[in-house]
Amino acid sequence: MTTTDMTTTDLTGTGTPSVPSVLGAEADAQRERLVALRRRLLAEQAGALSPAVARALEMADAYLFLALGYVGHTEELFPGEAPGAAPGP
Amino acid sequence: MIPHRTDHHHWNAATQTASREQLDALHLERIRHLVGWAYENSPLHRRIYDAAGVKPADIRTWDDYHHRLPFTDKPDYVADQESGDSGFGGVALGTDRWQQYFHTTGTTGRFLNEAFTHYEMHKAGSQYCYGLWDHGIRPKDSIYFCFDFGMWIGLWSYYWGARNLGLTIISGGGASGAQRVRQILERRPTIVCGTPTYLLHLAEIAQREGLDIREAGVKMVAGGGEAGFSIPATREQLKQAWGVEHVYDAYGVGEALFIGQSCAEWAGGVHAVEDVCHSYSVDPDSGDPITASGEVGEHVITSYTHFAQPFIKYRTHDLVRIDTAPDHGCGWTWKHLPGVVLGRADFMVTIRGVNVYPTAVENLIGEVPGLSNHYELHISRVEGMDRMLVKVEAGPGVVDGSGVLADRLADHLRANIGVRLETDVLAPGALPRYELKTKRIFDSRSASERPIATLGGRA
Repeated sequence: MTTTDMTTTDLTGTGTPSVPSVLGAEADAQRERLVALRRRLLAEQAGALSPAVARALEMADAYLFLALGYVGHTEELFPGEAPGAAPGP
Repeated sequence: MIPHRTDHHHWNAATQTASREQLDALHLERIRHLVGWAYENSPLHRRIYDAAGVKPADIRTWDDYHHRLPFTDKPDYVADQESGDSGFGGVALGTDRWQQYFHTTGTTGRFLNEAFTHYEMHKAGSQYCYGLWDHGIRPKDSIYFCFDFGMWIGLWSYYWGARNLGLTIISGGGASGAQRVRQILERRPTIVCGTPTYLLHLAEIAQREGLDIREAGVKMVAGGGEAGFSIPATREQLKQAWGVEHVYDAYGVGEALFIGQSCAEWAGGVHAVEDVCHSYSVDPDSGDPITASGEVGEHVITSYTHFAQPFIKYRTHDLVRIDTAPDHGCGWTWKHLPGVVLGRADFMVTIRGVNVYPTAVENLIGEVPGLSNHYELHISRVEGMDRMLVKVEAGPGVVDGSGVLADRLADHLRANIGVRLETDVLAPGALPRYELKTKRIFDSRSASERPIATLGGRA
Protein backbone atom coordinates (compact mmCIF):
# COMPACT_ATOMS: atom_id res chain seq x y z
CA MET A 1 0.00 0.00 0.00
CA THR A 2 1.40 3.36 -0.91
CA THR A 3 1.21 6.28 1.48
CA THR A 4 1.64 8.94 -1.17
CA ASP A 5 0.31 12.38 -0.40
CA MET A 6 -1.63 12.91 -3.60
CA THR A 7 -1.44 16.52 -4.62
CA THR A 8 -3.24 17.40 -7.80
CA THR A 9 -1.25 19.01 -10.57
CA ASP A 10 -2.14 20.78 -13.79
CA LEU A 11 -1.33 18.52 -16.70
CA THR A 12 -3.07 20.55 -19.31
CA GLY A 13 -1.66 24.00 -18.67
CA THR A 14 -5.19 25.37 -18.73
CA GLY A 15 -5.47 25.96 -15.03
CA THR A 16 -7.67 22.90 -14.66
CA PRO A 17 -6.29 20.60 -11.98
CA SER A 18 -6.17 16.98 -13.07
CA VAL A 19 -4.91 13.68 -11.78
CA PRO A 20 -1.19 13.09 -12.18
CA SER A 21 -0.24 10.79 -15.01
CA VAL A 22 -0.66 7.38 -13.43
CA LEU A 23 -1.75 5.03 -16.19
CA GLY A 24 0.85 5.89 -18.82
CA ALA A 25 1.06 8.03 -21.92
CA GLU A 26 -1.44 6.09 -24.04
CA ALA A 27 -4.17 6.26 -21.39
CA ASP A 28 -3.37 9.91 -20.68
CA ALA A 29 -3.66 10.78 -24.36
CA GLN A 30 -7.01 9.06 -24.71
CA ARG A 31 -8.26 10.70 -21.54
CA GLU A 32 -7.30 14.14 -22.82
CA ARG A 33 -9.14 13.49 -26.10
CA LEU A 34 -12.20 12.25 -24.25
CA VAL A 35 -12.21 15.29 -21.96
CA ALA A 36 -12.13 17.52 -25.03
CA LEU A 37 -14.90 15.51 -26.66
CA ARG A 38 -16.99 15.82 -23.53
CA ARG A 39 -16.49 19.56 -23.41
CA ARG A 40 -17.94 19.79 -26.92
CA LEU A 41 -20.78 17.44 -26.01
CA LEU A 42 -21.76 19.53 -22.97
CA ALA A 43 -21.65 22.71 -25.01
CA GLU A 44 -23.96 21.12 -27.56
CA GLN A 45 -26.25 19.94 -24.78
CA ALA A 46 -26.46 23.48 -23.37
CA GLY A 47 -27.59 24.73 -26.76
CA ALA A 48 -29.94 21.87 -27.59
CA LEU A 49 -32.89 22.79 -29.78
CA SER A 50 -35.38 20.63 -27.91
CA PRO A 51 -35.79 18.55 -24.77
CA ALA A 52 -35.41 15.53 -27.01
CA VAL A 53 -31.96 16.56 -28.18
CA ALA A 54 -30.92 17.65 -24.69
CA ARG A 55 -31.97 14.36 -23.13
CA ALA A 56 -30.27 12.30 -25.83
CA LEU A 57 -27.04 14.21 -25.20
CA GLU A 58 -27.40 13.73 -21.44
CA MET A 59 -27.52 10.01 -21.99
CA ALA A 60 -24.57 10.20 -24.37
CA ASP A 61 -22.67 11.97 -21.61
CA ALA A 62 -23.30 9.09 -19.22
CA TYR A 63 -21.74 6.64 -21.67
CA LEU A 64 -18.85 8.97 -22.39
CA PHE A 65 -18.23 9.31 -18.69
CA LEU A 66 -17.86 5.53 -18.43
CA ALA A 67 -15.04 5.72 -20.96
CA LEU A 68 -13.38 8.47 -18.95
CA GLY A 69 -13.46 6.29 -15.86
CA TYR A 70 -11.69 3.47 -17.69
CA VAL A 71 -8.70 5.72 -18.42
CA GLY A 72 -8.24 7.14 -14.94
CA HIS A 73 -10.39 10.27 -14.93
CA THR A 74 -10.78 11.47 -11.34
CA GLU A 75 -11.64 15.15 -11.69
CA GLU A 76 -15.34 14.44 -11.40
CA LEU A 77 -17.11 11.51 -9.79
CA PHE A 78 -20.11 11.38 -12.11
CA PRO A 79 -21.78 13.43 -14.84
CA GLY A 80 -23.41 16.56 -13.50
CA GLU A 81 -21.48 16.56 -10.23
CA ALA A 82 -20.21 20.12 -10.50
CA PRO A 83 -22.64 22.87 -9.39
CA GLY A 84 -24.03 24.63 -12.42
CA ALA A 85 -23.04 21.84 -14.78
CA ALA A 86 -25.58 20.35 -17.11
CA PRO A 87 -27.57 17.84 -15.07
CA GLY A 88 -26.45 14.26 -15.50
CA PRO A 89 -28.99 11.70 -16.49
CA MET B 1 -21.00 0.68 -37.59
CA ILE B 2 -17.52 0.26 -36.15
CA PRO B 3 -16.92 -3.45 -35.44
CA HIS B 4 -16.45 -4.52 -31.83
CA ARG B 5 -12.83 -4.95 -30.75
CA THR B 6 -13.03 -8.57 -29.73
CA ASP B 7 -9.33 -9.39 -30.01
CA HIS B 8 -8.21 -7.80 -26.74
CA HIS B 9 -7.53 -10.22 -23.93
CA HIS B 10 -8.61 -7.84 -21.15
CA TRP B 11 -11.72 -5.68 -21.01
CA ASN B 12 -9.72 -2.66 -19.84
CA ALA B 13 -6.01 -3.45 -19.58
CA ALA B 14 -5.12 0.14 -18.64
CA THR B 15 -6.43 -0.38 -15.12
CA GLN B 16 -6.87 -4.16 -14.98
CA THR B 17 -3.13 -4.75 -15.35
CA ALA B 18 -1.87 -1.53 -13.75
CA SER B 19 0.68 -1.69 -10.95
CA ARG B 20 -0.39 -1.56 -7.32
CA GLU B 21 1.18 1.88 -7.01
CA GLN B 22 -0.82 3.17 -9.99
CA LEU B 23 -4.05 1.68 -8.69
CA ASP B 24 -3.56 3.02 -5.19
CA ALA B 25 -2.86 6.49 -6.55
CA LEU B 26 -6.18 6.43 -8.43
CA HIS B 27 -8.01 5.05 -5.40
CA LEU B 28 -6.72 7.74 -3.08
CA GLU B 29 -7.66 10.50 -5.49
CA ARG B 30 -11.18 9.09 -5.92
CA ILE B 31 -11.67 8.49 -2.20
CA ARG B 32 -10.59 12.03 -1.31
CA HIS B 33 -12.96 13.43 -3.88
CA LEU B 34 -15.80 11.19 -2.72
CA VAL B 35 -15.33 12.11 0.95
CA GLY B 36 -15.62 15.78 -0.04
CA TRP B 37 -18.75 15.08 -2.06
CA ALA B 38 -20.38 13.15 0.76
CA TYR B 39 -19.49 15.75 3.38
CA GLU B 40 -21.00 18.55 1.34
CA ASN B 41 -24.12 16.74 0.18
CA SER B 42 -25.08 13.95 2.57
CA PRO B 43 -26.30 15.06 6.02
CA LEU B 44 -25.58 11.57 7.34
CA HIS B 45 -21.93 11.69 6.28
CA ARG B 46 -21.48 15.21 7.56
CA ARG B 47 -22.82 14.14 10.97
CA ILE B 48 -20.52 11.11 11.07
CA TYR B 49 -17.43 13.06 10.01
CA ASP B 50 -18.19 16.01 12.29
CA ALA B 51 -18.67 13.63 15.22
CA ALA B 52 -15.22 12.21 14.47
CA GLY B 53 -13.74 15.69 14.13
CA VAL B 54 -12.70 15.02 10.54
CA LYS B 55 -12.97 17.35 7.56
CA PRO B 56 -12.45 16.21 3.96
CA ALA B 57 -9.22 18.19 3.73
CA ASP B 58 -7.82 16.03 6.55
CA ILE B 59 -7.91 12.94 4.34
CA ARG B 60 -4.73 13.20 2.30
CA THR B 61 -2.91 9.91 2.77
CA TRP B 62 -3.70 6.24 3.23
CA ASP B 63 -2.85 6.63 6.87
CA ASP B 64 -5.57 9.29 7.13
CA TYR B 65 -8.06 7.04 5.36
CA HIS B 66 -7.29 4.04 7.53
CA HIS B 67 -6.98 5.74 10.89
CA ARG B 68 -8.78 9.11 10.81
CA LEU B 69 -11.81 8.61 8.58
CA PRO B 70 -14.61 6.84 10.48
CA PHE B 71 -16.22 3.64 9.24
CA THR B 72 -19.81 3.61 8.07
CA ASP B 73 -22.17 0.71 8.61
CA LYS B 74 -25.62 -0.45 7.63
CA PRO B 75 -27.24 0.66 10.92
CA ASP B 76 -26.12 4.23 10.16
CA TYR B 77 -28.08 4.15 6.91
CA VAL B 78 -31.08 2.33 8.36
CA ALA B 79 -31.37 4.84 11.21
CA ASP B 80 -31.11 7.71 8.74
CA GLN B 81 -33.66 6.01 6.48
CA GLU B 82 -36.14 5.71 9.34
CA SER B 83 -35.66 9.21 10.69
CA GLY B 84 -35.88 11.14 7.42
CA ASP B 85 -38.76 12.00 5.15
CA SER B 86 -37.32 10.41 2.01
CA GLY B 87 -37.26 6.85 3.36
CA PHE B 88 -33.65 6.53 2.22
CA GLY B 89 -30.45 6.77 4.27
CA GLY B 90 -27.26 8.65 3.46
CA VAL B 91 -28.71 10.43 0.45
CA ALA B 92 -26.51 13.02 -1.31
CA LEU B 93 -28.58 13.79 -4.43
CA GLY B 94 -32.17 14.95 -4.77
CA THR B 95 -34.92 12.63 -5.92
CA ASP B 96 -35.15 14.55 -9.20
CA ARG B 97 -31.87 12.86 -10.18
CA TRP B 98 -32.88 9.31 -9.22
CA GLN B 99 -33.94 6.95 -11.95
CA GLN B 100 -34.76 3.78 -10.06
CA TYR B 101 -34.78 2.48 -6.55
CA PHE B 102 -34.52 -0.93 -4.95
CA HIS B 103 -33.93 -2.56 -1.64
CA THR B 104 -31.54 -5.18 -0.33
CA THR B 105 -32.87 -8.63 0.58
CA GLY B 106 -32.98 -7.80 4.25
CA THR B 107 -31.36 -11.11 5.21
CA THR B 108 -29.38 -9.37 7.94
CA GLY B 109 -32.33 -7.47 9.37
CA ARG B 110 -34.12 -4.48 7.89
CA PHE B 111 -34.37 -3.68 4.21
CA LEU B 112 -32.03 -0.96 3.10
CA ASN B 113 -33.53 1.22 0.38
CA GLU B 114 -31.18 2.15 -2.44
CA ALA B 115 -31.44 4.93 -5.01
CA PHE B 116 -29.69 4.97 -8.39
CA THR B 117 -29.22 7.54 -11.09
CA HIS B 118 -29.03 6.49 -14.73
CA TYR B 119 -25.25 6.80 -14.77
CA GLU B 120 -24.86 4.77 -11.58
CA MET B 121 -26.78 1.85 -13.05
CA HIS B 122 -24.49 1.79 -16.07
CA LYS B 123 -21.39 2.18 -13.94
CA ALA B 124 -22.55 -0.67 -11.70
CA GLY B 125 -23.24 -2.78 -14.77
CA SER B 126 -19.71 -2.22 -16.04
CA GLN B 127 -18.30 -4.33 -13.22
CA TYR B 128 -19.47 -7.54 -14.89
CA CYS B 129 -17.71 -6.89 -18.16
CA TYR B 130 -14.17 -7.57 -16.92
CA GLY B 131 -14.84 -11.15 -15.87
CA LEU B 132 -17.31 -12.10 -18.58
CA TRP B 133 -14.92 -10.81 -21.22
CA ASP B 134 -12.09 -12.81 -19.66
CA HIS B 135 -14.23 -15.95 -19.99
CA GLY B 136 -14.58 -15.30 -23.71
CA ILE B 137 -18.07 -13.80 -23.62
CA ARG B 138 -18.51 -11.31 -26.46
CA PRO B 139 -21.29 -8.99 -27.70
CA LYS B 140 -22.59 -11.67 -30.09
CA ASP B 141 -23.49 -13.84 -27.09
CA SER B 142 -26.76 -14.02 -25.16
CA ILE B 143 -27.96 -14.35 -21.58
CA TYR B 144 -31.14 -15.84 -20.15
CA PHE B 145 -32.43 -14.49 -16.83
CA CYS B 146 -34.28 -16.85 -14.48
CA PHE B 147 -35.50 -13.82 -12.62
CA ASP B 148 -38.68 -11.91 -11.98
CA PHE B 149 -37.62 -8.28 -12.02
CA GLY B 150 -38.80 -7.12 -8.63
CA MET B 151 -37.42 -4.79 -5.97
CA TRP B 152 -34.46 -7.01 -5.05
CA ILE B 153 -31.47 -5.38 -6.63
CA GLY B 154 -29.25 -8.45 -7.07
CA LEU B 155 -29.82 -9.66 -10.60
CA TRP B 156 -30.93 -6.27 -11.91
CA SER B 157 -27.29 -5.27 -11.89
CA TYR B 158 -26.48 -8.38 -13.92
CA TYR B 159 -28.98 -7.11 -16.44
CA TRP B 160 -27.19 -3.75 -16.56
CA GLY B 161 -23.92 -5.63 -17.03
CA ALA B 162 -25.37 -7.61 -19.94
CA ARG B 163 -26.53 -4.39 -21.58
CA ASN B 164 -23.15 -2.81 -20.95
CA LEU B 165 -21.29 -5.66 -22.60
CA GLY B 166 -23.76 -5.80 -25.47
CA LEU B 167 -25.29 -9.22 -24.89
CA THR B 168 -28.65 -10.28 -26.25
CA ILE B 169 -31.02 -10.48 -23.31
CA ILE B 170 -33.67 -13.15 -22.95
CA SER B 171 -36.02 -12.63 -20.02
CA GLY B 172 -37.41 -15.64 -18.20
CA GLY B 173 -39.51 -13.43 -15.93
CA GLY B 174 -42.99 -14.58 -15.04
CA ALA B 175 -42.44 -18.11 -16.30
CA SER B 176 -42.67 -21.38 -14.41
CA GLY B 177 -39.65 -23.64 -14.02
CA ALA B 178 -40.86 -25.99 -16.75
CA GLN B 179 -41.52 -23.06 -19.08
CA ARG B 180 -38.04 -21.75 -18.43
CA VAL B 181 -36.50 -25.11 -19.25
CA ARG B 182 -38.32 -25.13 -22.59
CA GLN B 183 -37.37 -21.52 -23.33
CA ILE B 184 -33.72 -22.29 -22.64
CA LEU B 185 -33.79 -25.34 -24.90
CA GLU B 186 -35.47 -23.28 -27.61
CA ARG B 187 -33.39 -20.07 -27.36
CA ARG B 188 -30.03 -21.75 -26.61
CA PRO B 189 -28.50 -18.82 -24.65
CA THR B 190 -24.76 -18.60 -24.08
CA ILE B 191 -25.29 -17.82 -20.38
CA VAL B 192 -28.06 -18.73 -17.97
CA CYS B 193 -28.28 -16.46 -14.94
CA GLY B 194 -29.86 -17.39 -11.60
CA THR B 195 -28.98 -18.45 -8.09
CA PRO B 196 -26.94 -21.68 -7.93
CA THR B 197 -29.71 -23.47 -6.04
CA TYR B 198 -32.31 -22.44 -8.58
CA LEU B 199 -30.11 -23.49 -11.50
CA LEU B 200 -29.73 -26.95 -9.98
CA HIS B 201 -33.47 -26.97 -9.35
CA LEU B 202 -34.11 -26.16 -13.03
CA ALA B 203 -31.91 -29.10 -14.05
CA GLU B 204 -34.03 -31.32 -11.78
CA ILE B 205 -37.22 -29.98 -13.37
CA ALA B 206 -35.83 -30.72 -16.83
CA GLN B 207 -35.11 -34.28 -15.76
CA ARG B 208 -38.65 -34.66 -14.40
CA GLU B 209 -40.03 -33.35 -17.68
CA GLY B 210 -37.98 -35.92 -19.57
CA LEU B 211 -35.75 -33.20 -21.06
CA ASP B 212 -31.97 -32.87 -21.06
CA ILE B 213 -30.96 -29.30 -20.25
CA ARG B 214 -27.44 -30.04 -21.49
CA GLU B 215 -28.81 -30.14 -25.03
CA ALA B 216 -29.35 -26.37 -24.84
CA GLY B 217 -25.63 -25.88 -25.45
CA VAL B 218 -25.29 -23.34 -22.63
CA LYS B 219 -21.63 -22.37 -22.13
CA MET B 220 -21.82 -20.62 -18.78
CA VAL B 221 -24.00 -20.48 -15.71
CA ALA B 222 -23.78 -17.32 -13.63
CA GLY B 223 -25.63 -15.32 -11.03
CA GLY B 224 -25.35 -14.84 -7.32
CA GLY B 225 -27.27 -14.44 -4.10
CA GLU B 226 -25.61 -17.45 -2.51
CA ALA B 227 -22.14 -18.91 -2.01
CA GLY B 228 -22.64 -21.84 -4.40
CA PHE B 229 -20.64 -20.47 -7.33
CA SER B 230 -17.61 -20.32 -5.01
CA ILE B 231 -17.98 -23.84 -3.64
CA PRO B 232 -16.04 -26.46 -5.62
CA ALA B 233 -18.57 -29.25 -5.08
CA THR B 234 -21.50 -27.06 -6.19
CA ARG B 235 -19.53 -25.79 -9.17
CA GLU B 236 -18.92 -29.38 -10.22
CA GLN B 237 -22.60 -30.25 -9.79
CA LEU B 238 -23.56 -27.28 -11.95
CA LYS B 239 -21.08 -28.29 -14.64
CA GLN B 240 -22.42 -31.82 -14.66
CA ALA B 241 -26.09 -30.84 -14.57
CA TRP B 242 -25.84 -28.18 -17.29
CA GLY B 243 -22.91 -29.52 -19.31
CA VAL B 244 -21.30 -26.07 -19.18
CA GLU B 245 -17.64 -25.13 -19.60
CA HIS B 246 -17.79 -22.15 -17.25
CA VAL B 247 -19.28 -21.48 -13.85
CA TYR B 248 -18.99 -17.77 -13.22
CA ASP B 249 -18.15 -16.74 -9.70
CA ALA B 250 -19.07 -13.27 -8.45
CA TYR B 251 -19.24 -11.65 -5.04
CA GLY B 252 -21.83 -9.07 -4.20
CA VAL B 253 -22.43 -6.65 -1.37
CA GLY B 254 -26.01 -5.43 -1.30
CA GLU B 255 -24.87 -1.84 -0.93
CA ALA B 256 -22.26 -1.91 -3.71
CA LEU B 257 -23.47 -4.78 -5.93
CA PHE B 258 -21.20 -7.41 -7.48
CA ILE B 259 -17.84 -5.82 -6.80
CA GLY B 260 -15.98 -9.14 -7.05
CA GLN B 261 -15.76 -11.02 -10.36
CA SER B 262 -13.88 -14.14 -11.35
CA CYS B 263 -11.26 -14.29 -14.06
CA ALA B 264 -11.18 -17.29 -16.38
CA GLU B 265 -8.53 -18.97 -14.20
CA TRP B 266 -10.86 -18.58 -11.20
CA ALA B 267 -8.11 -19.64 -8.72
CA GLY B 268 -10.73 -20.33 -6.10
CA GLY B 269 -12.06 -16.82 -5.83
CA VAL B 270 -12.83 -13.43 -7.30
CA HIS B 271 -10.96 -10.24 -8.05
CA ALA B 272 -12.11 -6.98 -6.52
CA VAL B 273 -13.14 -4.83 -9.49
CA GLU B 274 -10.92 -1.90 -8.65
CA ASP B 275 -12.48 0.37 -11.27
CA VAL B 276 -15.69 0.39 -9.22
CA CYS B 277 -14.53 0.12 -5.63
CA HIS B 278 -11.69 0.24 -3.16
CA SER B 279 -11.40 -2.94 -1.13
CA TYR B 280 -9.37 -3.76 1.96
CA SER B 281 -9.81 -5.68 5.18
CA VAL B 282 -9.54 -4.84 8.86
CA ASP B 283 -9.33 -6.53 12.19
CA PRO B 284 -12.99 -6.31 13.25
CA ASP B 285 -12.02 -5.64 16.85
CA SER B 286 -9.45 -2.89 16.40
CA GLY B 287 -10.40 -1.61 12.94
CA ASP B 288 -6.74 -1.67 11.95
CA PRO B 289 -5.93 -2.70 8.37
CA ILE B 290 -4.87 -6.28 7.79
CA THR B 291 -1.38 -5.99 6.37
CA ALA B 292 -0.39 -9.64 5.92
CA SER B 293 -1.54 -10.90 2.53
CA GLY B 294 -3.82 -13.88 3.05
CA GLU B 295 -4.80 -13.16 6.65
CA VAL B 296 -8.53 -13.14 7.39
CA GLY B 297 -10.22 -9.82 8.11
CA GLU B 298 -13.51 -7.99 7.70
CA HIS B 299 -14.04 -6.60 4.23
CA VAL B 300 -14.39 -2.82 4.04
CA ILE B 301 -15.27 -1.11 0.79
CA THR B 302 -15.67 2.30 -0.80
CA SER B 303 -17.95 2.29 -3.81
CA TYR B 304 -17.36 4.31 -6.97
CA THR B 305 -20.79 3.43 -8.33
CA HIS B 306 -22.83 5.19 -5.65
CA PHE B 307 -22.94 8.98 -5.48
CA ALA B 308 -26.65 9.59 -4.87
CA GLN B 309 -26.12 7.48 -1.75
CA PRO B 310 -22.38 7.17 -1.05
CA PHE B 311 -20.87 4.15 0.68
CA ILE B 312 -17.44 5.11 1.98
CA LYS B 313 -15.24 2.96 4.20
CA TYR B 314 -18.31 0.78 4.62
CA ARG B 315 -18.18 -2.32 6.81
CA THR B 316 -19.53 -5.33 4.97
CA HIS B 317 -19.12 -7.76 7.91
CA ASP B 318 -17.92 -10.33 5.39
CA LEU B 319 -14.78 -12.18 6.43
CA VAL B 320 -12.32 -12.43 3.56
CA ARG B 321 -8.72 -13.13 2.71
CA ILE B 322 -7.19 -10.62 0.31
CA ASP B 323 -4.25 -11.47 -1.89
CA THR B 324 -2.85 -8.07 -2.82
CA ALA B 325 -0.49 -9.42 -5.49
CA PRO B 326 -2.27 -12.30 -7.21
CA ASP B 327 -0.21 -14.31 -9.65
CA HIS B 328 -2.33 -17.14 -11.03
CA GLY B 329 -1.82 -16.42 -14.70
CA CYS B 330 -4.76 -14.17 -15.62
CA GLY B 331 -2.70 -10.99 -15.85
CA TRP B 332 -5.08 -9.00 -13.66
CA THR B 333 -3.32 -7.06 -10.93
CA TRP B 334 -6.50 -6.41 -8.99
CA LYS B 335 -6.75 -7.85 -5.49
CA HIS B 336 -7.97 -11.42 -5.29
CA LEU B 337 -10.25 -12.90 -2.63
CA PRO B 338 -9.56 -16.64 -2.47
CA GLY B 339 -12.54 -18.47 -1.01
CA VAL B 340 -14.59 -15.28 -1.57
CA VAL B 341 -16.63 -14.87 1.63
CA LEU B 342 -15.30 -17.15 4.36
CA GLY B 343 -18.00 -16.23 6.82
CA ARG B 344 -19.78 -13.36 8.43
CA ALA B 345 -18.39 -11.52 11.41
CA ASP B 346 -21.94 -11.49 12.74
CA PHE B 347 -22.65 -15.16 11.86
CA MET B 348 -19.49 -16.47 13.43
CA VAL B 349 -19.96 -19.48 15.64
CA THR B 350 -17.48 -20.61 18.25
CA ILE B 351 -18.09 -24.20 19.22
CA ARG B 352 -16.03 -25.59 22.07
CA GLY B 353 -13.36 -22.99 21.41
CA VAL B 354 -13.20 -23.54 17.65
CA ASN B 355 -14.28 -20.79 15.28
CA VAL B 356 -16.50 -22.36 12.62
CA TYR B 357 -17.07 -20.68 9.25
CA PRO B 358 -20.45 -21.54 7.75
CA THR B 359 -18.80 -21.47 4.31
CA ALA B 360 -16.33 -24.12 5.42
CA VAL B 361 -19.22 -26.33 6.50
CA GLU B 362 -20.94 -25.74 3.15
CA ASN B 363 -17.81 -26.84 1.31
CA LEU B 364 -17.45 -30.01 3.36
CA ILE B 365 -21.07 -31.11 2.87
CA GLY B 366 -20.38 -31.35 -0.84
CA GLU B 367 -17.54 -33.79 -0.22
CA VAL B 368 -19.70 -36.50 1.38
CA PRO B 369 -21.05 -39.00 -1.17
CA GLY B 370 -24.78 -39.57 -0.95
CA LEU B 371 -25.66 -36.04 0.15
CA SER B 372 -27.33 -33.39 -1.99
CA ASN B 373 -26.52 -29.67 -2.22
CA HIS B 374 -29.67 -28.74 -0.30
CA TYR B 375 -28.84 -27.91 3.29
CA GLU B 376 -29.50 -25.53 6.16
CA LEU B 377 -27.31 -24.47 9.08
CA HIS B 378 -29.14 -23.75 12.32
CA ILE B 379 -27.19 -21.76 14.88
CA SER B 380 -28.42 -21.49 18.45
CA ARG B 381 -27.18 -20.69 21.93
CA VAL B 382 -27.86 -23.29 24.62
CA GLU B 383 -26.69 -22.73 28.19
CA GLY B 384 -24.23 -20.10 27.04
CA MET B 385 -22.70 -22.27 24.31
CA ASP B 386 -23.04 -21.83 20.57
CA ARG B 387 -24.37 -24.86 18.68
CA MET B 388 -24.73 -25.62 15.01
CA LEU B 389 -27.12 -28.17 13.57
CA VAL B 390 -26.44 -29.14 9.96
CA LYS B 391 -29.56 -30.30 8.12
CA VAL B 392 -28.95 -31.73 4.68
CA GLU B 393 -31.04 -33.67 2.21
CA ALA B 394 -29.89 -37.06 1.02
CA GLY B 395 -29.18 -37.33 -2.68
CA PRO B 396 -31.85 -38.59 -5.10
CA GLY B 397 -32.85 -42.16 -4.29
CA VAL B 398 -30.75 -42.30 -1.11
CA VAL B 399 -32.34 -43.30 2.21
CA ASP B 400 -30.47 -42.75 5.47
CA GLY B 401 -32.73 -44.76 7.74
CA SER B 402 -30.00 -45.90 10.13
CA GLY B 403 -28.21 -42.57 10.34
CA VAL B 404 -25.06 -43.78 8.63
CA LEU B 405 -24.88 -40.74 6.37
CA ALA B 406 -25.44 -38.35 9.28
CA ASP B 407 -22.57 -39.99 11.19
CA ARG B 408 -20.37 -39.92 8.12
CA LEU B 409 -21.04 -36.20 7.69
CA ALA B 410 -20.34 -35.51 11.37
CA ASP B 411 -17.06 -37.44 11.13
CA HIS B 412 -16.05 -35.57 8.00
CA LEU B 413 -16.81 -32.20 9.60
CA ARG B 414 -14.89 -33.15 12.74
CA ALA B 415 -11.89 -34.35 10.76
CA ASN B 416 -11.69 -31.08 8.84
CA ILE B 417 -12.95 -28.44 11.25
CA GLY B 418 -11.80 -30.00 14.49
CA VAL B 419 -15.14 -30.07 16.24
CA ARG B 420 -18.19 -32.33 16.07
CA LEU B 421 -21.39 -30.62 14.86
CA GLU B 422 -24.91 -31.97 15.11
CA THR B 423 -26.07 -33.44 11.81
CA ASP B 424 -29.44 -34.48 10.46
CA VAL B 425 -29.90 -36.08 7.03
CA LEU B 426 -33.37 -35.57 5.60
CA ALA B 427 -35.28 -37.20 2.77
CA PRO B 428 -34.85 -35.69 -0.71
CA GLY B 429 -37.16 -32.70 -1.20
CA ALA B 430 -37.65 -32.06 2.54
CA LEU B 431 -36.15 -28.57 2.52
CA PRO B 432 -37.79 -25.59 0.78
CA ARG B 433 -36.64 -24.36 -2.63
CA TYR B 434 -36.23 -20.68 -3.44
CA GLU B 435 -36.13 -18.86 -6.76
CA LEU B 436 -34.06 -16.01 -5.37
CA LYS B 437 -31.57 -15.99 -2.56
CA THR B 438 -31.79 -19.31 -0.72
CA LYS B 439 -31.97 -19.02 3.05
CA ARG B 440 -29.27 -21.33 4.36
CA ILE B 441 -28.36 -19.94 7.73
CA PHE B 442 -30.85 -19.69 10.57
CA ASP B 443 -29.35 -17.92 13.55
CA SER B 444 -31.72 -18.02 16.51
CA ARG B 445 -29.28 -16.36 18.90
CA SER B 446 -30.46 -13.04 20.27
CA ALA B 447 -28.64 -9.88 19.23
CA SER B 448 -26.81 -9.81 22.56
CA GLU B 449 -25.67 -13.43 22.12
CA ARG B 450 -24.08 -12.85 18.73
CA PRO B 451 -20.50 -11.74 18.54
CA ILE B 452 -20.24 -8.05 17.73
CA ALA B 453 -17.10 -8.82 15.80
CA THR B 454 -14.97 -11.90 15.62
CA LEU B 455 -11.78 -12.45 13.72
CA GLY B 456 -12.28 -16.03 12.76
CA GLY B 457 -9.13 -16.66 10.78
CA ARG B 458 -6.80 -16.88 13.71
CA ALA B 459 -8.33 -19.98 15.21
